[in-house]
Amino acid sequence: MRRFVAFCWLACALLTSLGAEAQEPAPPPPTSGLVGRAIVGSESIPVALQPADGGTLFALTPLVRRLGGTLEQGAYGESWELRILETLYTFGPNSGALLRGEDILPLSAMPQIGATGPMVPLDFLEQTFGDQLGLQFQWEPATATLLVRRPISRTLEVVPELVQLQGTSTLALEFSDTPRYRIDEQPGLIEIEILGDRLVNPWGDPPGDSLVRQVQVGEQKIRLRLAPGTASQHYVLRRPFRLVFDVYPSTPSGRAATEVQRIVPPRQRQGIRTIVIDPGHGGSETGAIGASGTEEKDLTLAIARSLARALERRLPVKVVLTRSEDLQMSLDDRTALANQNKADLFVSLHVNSSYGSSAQGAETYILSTEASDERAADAAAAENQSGEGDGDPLYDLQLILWDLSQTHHLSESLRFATLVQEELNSALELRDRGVKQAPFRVLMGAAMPAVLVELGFLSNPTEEKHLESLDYQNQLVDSLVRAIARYKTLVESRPEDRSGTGDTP
Amino acid sequence: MSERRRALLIAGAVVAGLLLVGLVLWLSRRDGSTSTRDAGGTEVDSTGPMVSVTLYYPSLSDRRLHAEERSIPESTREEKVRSIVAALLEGPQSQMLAAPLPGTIELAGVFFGEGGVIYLDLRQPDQERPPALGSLEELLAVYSLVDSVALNTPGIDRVALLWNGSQPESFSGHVDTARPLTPNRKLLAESP
Repeated sequence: MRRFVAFCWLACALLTSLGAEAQEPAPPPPTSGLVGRAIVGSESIPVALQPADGGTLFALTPLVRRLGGTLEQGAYGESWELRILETLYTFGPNSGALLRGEDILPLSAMPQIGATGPMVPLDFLEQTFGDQLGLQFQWEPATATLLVRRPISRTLEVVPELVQLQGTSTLALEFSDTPRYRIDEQPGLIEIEILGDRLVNPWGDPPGDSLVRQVQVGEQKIRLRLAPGTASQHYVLRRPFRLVFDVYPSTPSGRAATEVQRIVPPRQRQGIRTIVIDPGHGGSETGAIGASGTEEKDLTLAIARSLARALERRLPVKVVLTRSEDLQMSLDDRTALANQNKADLFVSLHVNSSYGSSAQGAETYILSTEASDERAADAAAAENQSGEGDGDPLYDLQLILWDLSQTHHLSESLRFATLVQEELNSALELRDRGVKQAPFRVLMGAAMPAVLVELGFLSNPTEEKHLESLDYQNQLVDSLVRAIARYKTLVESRPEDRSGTGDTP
Repeated sequence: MSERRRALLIAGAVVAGLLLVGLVLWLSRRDGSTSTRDAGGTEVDSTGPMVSVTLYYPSLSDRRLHAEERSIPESTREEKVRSIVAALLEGPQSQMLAAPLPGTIELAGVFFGEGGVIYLDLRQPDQERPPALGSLEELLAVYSLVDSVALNTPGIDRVALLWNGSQPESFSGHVDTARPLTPNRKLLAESP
């Protein structure tokens, strides 16, 4: 009987322990327990720390409590929102992106959620409190101390320069160091308030012109008085830091005319003289990879070189390759190169890949009209945006270039693409797939007719073998040369358009 | 049968019954509730209300995105977006369709920006760059995500794709991803 009682006790103990295990809440996640301190003025406040890849993370809550702002969890769960003055920052754990409105600011380390709330890297603090309140942060790991300082007011030199060219007045404010500023735009008046620093203007205020009536540089504020009926855009250029304002007539017809005059080179396109050939991808950006390992970047480079040689041998044209070796190059740099060379034609060479293995044949793409419309909407939104002067300095210019180039060159791109497709279909005896449209980045911003040619499918094993063969590559090159020659003849046989802004009398 | 033997048998039966009840209790408490897995492989509580979403997967045979219906738990907008992306990466039910991107890719973050823009921050362990794709693959992959998220999420008009926290000019060297994208209905196959 004793054995039975002992067995019952054992069974009860086992049941109790199982029940206890089931009812106990999960233990809290382990924390590092590291605590440092932040020195703000003469005050020292404890701040939890957490080591991370890319640097130390700092507890945000005590810093917000001391420095100002509000911090709360977003309405949708994981995101957190930090508001400082009028600016809202959104961020989340396990993502190295900090959102300021629609701007994406990269972080050196991903924020984490600790026991007391978000833990953030040093550059998070610099890009939020630093930018908004002018604070400087210095981390001293040896003493686990975060120094938060308000820098002593600097004296910045500013040199204003105002020029008027083809209906647009451009005011460049060149600063001796990067200022912190706030822009207030009202009809007829732009005020740039300098936050924390003092300005000196060694050269004096420039005389006004018909659009920018007056430029006044004070110690804390720069005032621009504009003529009635004008609008403005501003952007930033760096090294040295320049804040640039373009002021132009605000009526749509007047503005459009101004943009055309500003961007189009003052000459008429009388023929196809310079052709830019763009071998797609390069460097670590391989592009598509075939089943037997053929890389798109290698094929495009080989065919582009061959095409360049054939064109210069057979046509009176200058050919520029965006890359002549295996190197990585951004898409925007490729069209920028074409624009710098005042190219008359831009041909980007690619090799395709699809999810299945049956797709085959060559295709020619021009920019999609949807992409055009969206970029136009973006341009309009950018024009209406005010207050923030720290956007992408090239963005406005890109939009204008794109707007202009696509309005003027989309129909020419379609005409040229049709010829390319005809020649490729004829040489390769393929069913005509027609010219396609897609929102391809490399076709945006080219101020000339621009096409992207997909020479075949690497995902199709048969076509991959063809593409590797020199004979097949030569057929492709011949087709492209014939298409370019036909287009050149077409353009050069047209009667000259004398309605433009050309230098022809 | 002796009195002692009968008592032992009854006691043994009681203990065995107790053990069985305890085991059932423990197992049911450990599970918490009846659960199942959704299309994205995520464990979900199937007892709660579910909502239907339409996902768009690239086709293996044509150049379109094809619709598949899924049921996901009714939840916050962010959880809904996470379920949609997880289901896309998990892959389609039809063998004629494909997952837009490799299943090893993770959705690191979801942000709701201003003006109906959602930011999807994608990443893949140990991969600095997005996967290498041909232009057709990239076009379908990008709009598989954009269309599936935007067309199923009220209030979302545009989708911005990030990779490791940054917005690349293009994921794989073709499609413009440097700005938030609106859904592309032209890529959607017509319903059968």
